[in-house]
Amino acid sequence: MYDQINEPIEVLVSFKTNEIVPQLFSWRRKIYKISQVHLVHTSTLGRQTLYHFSVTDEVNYFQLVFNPFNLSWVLEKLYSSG
Amino acid sequence: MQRIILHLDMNSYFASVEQQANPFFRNKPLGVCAYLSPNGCIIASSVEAKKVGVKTGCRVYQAVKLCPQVILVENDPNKYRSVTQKLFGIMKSYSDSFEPYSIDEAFLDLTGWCRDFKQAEYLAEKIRGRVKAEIGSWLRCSIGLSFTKFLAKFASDTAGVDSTLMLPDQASLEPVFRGRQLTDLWGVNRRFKKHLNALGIRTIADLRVFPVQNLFSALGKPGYWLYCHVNGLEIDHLRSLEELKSKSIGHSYCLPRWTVDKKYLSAVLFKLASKVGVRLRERKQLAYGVYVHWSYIGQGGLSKSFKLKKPVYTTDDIFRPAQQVLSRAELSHKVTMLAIGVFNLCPMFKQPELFFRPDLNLSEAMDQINGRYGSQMIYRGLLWKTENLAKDRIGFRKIDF
Ligand SMILES: [Mg+2]
Repeated sequence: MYDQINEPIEVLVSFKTNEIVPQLFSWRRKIYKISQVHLVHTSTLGRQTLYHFSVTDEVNYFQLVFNPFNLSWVLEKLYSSG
Repeated sequence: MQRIILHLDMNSYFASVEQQANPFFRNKPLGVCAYLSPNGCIIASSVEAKKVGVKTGCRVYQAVKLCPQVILVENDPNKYRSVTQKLFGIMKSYSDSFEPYSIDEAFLDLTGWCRDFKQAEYLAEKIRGRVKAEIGSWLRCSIGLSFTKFLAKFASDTAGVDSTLMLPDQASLEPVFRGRQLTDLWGVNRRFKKHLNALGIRTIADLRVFPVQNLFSALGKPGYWLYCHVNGLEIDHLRSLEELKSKSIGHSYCLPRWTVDKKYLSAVLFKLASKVGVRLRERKQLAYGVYVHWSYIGQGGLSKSFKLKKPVYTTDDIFRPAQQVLSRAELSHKVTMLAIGVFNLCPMFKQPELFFRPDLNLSEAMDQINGRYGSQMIYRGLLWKTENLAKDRIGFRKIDF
């Protein structure tokens, strides 16, 4: 089951053609290296579109959300496989 | 010109999207729930969950009993809508005639876009490959190809997971119909099957050779349509968006708390009415009918619909007649589900009587504010503290255009 986190994070991102790929992020003073992006989906908050990234490292699943309006990143959900 | 229709149906859709998003869920029994409380309904299950009997409609507590290690997640409509949007985008790039049929099914008319079925089959593989490459490698679909809509859908229903089935000509029909039930046909439910049985029709083969005039006089147009469908006679076409705009707008909610508390029920009803109102106004339509329905625990319930002389447009207009029914009703059991909606829709016109009602402009202003800043920024006092009631949900056949 998912843990709802909803805490701001800092993210290192690469911009590819028509694509944003988060590479690593820091949360609670720890660095997590993203090994794969599995799904990108959107949602709307009023007029703003938010981009949700479903990503994993070796043992965890994270859902990150990017708000292009205020350029913020938030860790929304966490799932640990261990 | 050779008519070529493609029907695509995603396999175990919501569950597969969740498995796509989170690879730790793959190859495991997974249920997508309306909500996670013990009474929550499973609305979709993964291939692995289906194998152990966890099926759509199963309750959360039942699923856990059947399979203690089942993974359960709450449904995430935004995820599925996003994937559908990308999927339909891919499909639309191959023909200008496209009909979305549900959140995970659509038709594509390839007539004139493909030379023959061989080319169409190649294109089907291309679509399947693009879905995997551009959306997610875990996503699988069944594709049917044939010369009518009905047969294309039958073909994809028959094809199986991640496969394509082609029914290119009359000769290909007899073998696929053999051994299949009448209820496997699109549009034939158990009641319709009983009518067919009463005429001595037991199999699809019987149906195909039954005298069509007798079928028509016994069952009317539906009998005639079905005869055409199974004989590969096209009487249908892909529907345009204008044709698809539904003839009614409704919202329903399975209550997490089963109750006879009219205050609570009334608050939920108002919230549902406000969602109906927003969609009605978005579509710039008026409604000449309102319906309300609720279900009791166990079975039974109450349904009432009103045809109205004056059209409704605001949330209050929609809510009022429904609320009257609720306040006057004697609730015999706890209520488990509430629904409200409007029908007899017509385009918005501002007749003088409507024009001078200040609450009309108020409704539109509130919609604008909520459209700009989020759907619950401004709302009626009655909705205070009901934020978590009737959250966004998703249905298979309910799609907005
Ligand atoms: Mg499906």
